[in-house]
Amino acid sequence: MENDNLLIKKTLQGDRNAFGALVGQYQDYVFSVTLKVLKNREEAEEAAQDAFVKAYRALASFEQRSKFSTWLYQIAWRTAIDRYRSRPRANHSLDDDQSYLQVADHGATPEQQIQQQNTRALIEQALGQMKPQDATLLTLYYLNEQSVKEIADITGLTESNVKVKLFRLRNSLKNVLTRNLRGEVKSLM
Amino acid sequence: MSTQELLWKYAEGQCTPSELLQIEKQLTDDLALQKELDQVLELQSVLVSMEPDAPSMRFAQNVMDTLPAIYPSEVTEPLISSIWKKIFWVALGALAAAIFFLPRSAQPSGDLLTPYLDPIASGISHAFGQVPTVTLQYFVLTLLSIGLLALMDKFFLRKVRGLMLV
Repeated sequence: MENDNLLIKKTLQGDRNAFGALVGQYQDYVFSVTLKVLKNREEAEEAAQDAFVKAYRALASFEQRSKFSTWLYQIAWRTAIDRYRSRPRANHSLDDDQSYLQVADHGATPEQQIQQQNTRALIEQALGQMKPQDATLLTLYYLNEQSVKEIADITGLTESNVKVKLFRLRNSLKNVLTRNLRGEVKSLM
Repeated sequence: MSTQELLWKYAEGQCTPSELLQIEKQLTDDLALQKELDQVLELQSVLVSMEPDAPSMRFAQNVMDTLPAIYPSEVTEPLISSIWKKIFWVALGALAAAIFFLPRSAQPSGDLLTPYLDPIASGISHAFGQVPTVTLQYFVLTLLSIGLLALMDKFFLRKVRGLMLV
């Protein structure tokens, strides 16, 4: 965090390489956030790029009340959500309480689809099929190591709402694992 | 708090001492709950070890290419370089040493000196009896001007940097 503040100070003094160091440090995490929302690499990369440019423009107004990473992820989240909403067919709600984990049905039972996969692949598949907000919540919590309060700041949800959603999402993922285990047992019998 | 919520708190190591006692007692009594804890821990380890997605190799360069020039570095450069500051301090030190340590060789003329510069210039003319007083006056004024300019330069530089950080 101190290193971030030093790089910010240098950037404001006209050192573009200092901002380059910040980009290098956070590009994967910012891209992960935009990718979880947009689920399209090209679009996610454009959104992540926009987010960094917006952060650069607004850097002088960053008051260091929060971590730089939290502030940056908030910009990335809003940029990605704006793009998502501007899509022609984006008509489903992002903050729908019923939006947690909906595994796609491709004509086979979930057990048949996933029984050959290991846990990691299974979880990654489930994350990929989640609604944008849900996948982003889990990404921010586990991958970007943001606290519940920081996630609330980033997404605009209340802390209790974030807690409830995280609880539901993790339980949904656990249920996917349980179903997969049952499928494996059945196939062995 | 439900047992499920408590289980997740336990897996994340965030239980209070009383919650810890409660869940550990439940785990001892309930085999199904133990199995559930195993699943929670398995999921937890997968989620914690997730790797971030990486953008393309050109990403950082693309960002740097599109940054606008809004923080120009020229503004924060000092107007007076450090070599001139060193010259100023050395000259001032030499002058002060001459005034205080060299023996007096002549009386001050006094007629042309202003009331403010009189004590300084008379001290200087004592030290440098052969040098015309007017020359010494200009020398002192020049040194004072450079000193004032350096102070103003420092003041405005701080102001500009302060504005950029707001």
